[in-house]
Amino acid sequence: MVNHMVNYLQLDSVFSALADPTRRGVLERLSHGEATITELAQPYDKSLPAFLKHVRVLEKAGLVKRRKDGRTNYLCLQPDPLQNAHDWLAEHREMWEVQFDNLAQYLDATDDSPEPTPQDDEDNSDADITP
Amino acid sequence: MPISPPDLGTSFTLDRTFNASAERVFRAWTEAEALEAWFQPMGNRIIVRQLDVRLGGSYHFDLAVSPTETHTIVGQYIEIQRPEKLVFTWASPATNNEDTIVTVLFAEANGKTQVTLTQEKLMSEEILTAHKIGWESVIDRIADVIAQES
Repeated sequence: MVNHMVNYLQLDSVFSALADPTRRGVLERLSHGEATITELAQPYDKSLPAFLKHVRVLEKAGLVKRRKDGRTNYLCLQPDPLQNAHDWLAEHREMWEVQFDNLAQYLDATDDSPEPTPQDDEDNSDADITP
Repeated sequence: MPISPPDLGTSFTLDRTFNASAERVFRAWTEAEALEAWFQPMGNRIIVRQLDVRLGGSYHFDLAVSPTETHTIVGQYIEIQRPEKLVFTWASPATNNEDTIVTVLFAEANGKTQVTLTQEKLMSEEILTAHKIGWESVIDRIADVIAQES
């Protein structure tokens, strides 16, 4: 259950990260491969601090990973969080599958409908009271 | 190998055939005593606090997930066609307490009942839109790059 919550919270941050055009642009660029933050910031008419805010949102969502080489910061794409989104749906499905198992057991255990027993019609003729 | 975005559908459907009449299966879904006996969404039995199976009626289930923590599942009945169909909203900590829609269909044939369950709206529309425009464009780019390299 705790997993459900964690996944959902992470999902939320993933989707709010994807909701912004600058951040989507960064992800697109990173789909070509690793890039430095300076390279990534170049196409945007933004101050570096403003651009770094976007980077932090992506990092927080777990969509990108930062690597430091000397004084240079590299970013690369990290698509794992979207796998969690898929898992989250699968967990709901599994929950209901288990409930179906429980329901089948319950229905078997509480089945009090009479078994269809074959009627012995010949016995009835014996019981026939005829004058 | 084709690259496609992870499937982030908002719903799923599953079905199972039970060895019981639709009436019996429907009762199992709509009577407190029965629900408390079989329904164990987190491995624990629920306590039915409220169960008003009428159009617009509410239900409220509590379940103890630990000695100190209780989860609450709540919803409202949107459609009731005894014993063929039951539609209700469903919100729990597992859905981040957001409403999802659960549709349960009961189809009886030869003394057995096929139950089909669909849970919908597992993610909000804006989330899905963001996913679609955001992630798919990323995947398209990756696919393009790979196509150029090969």
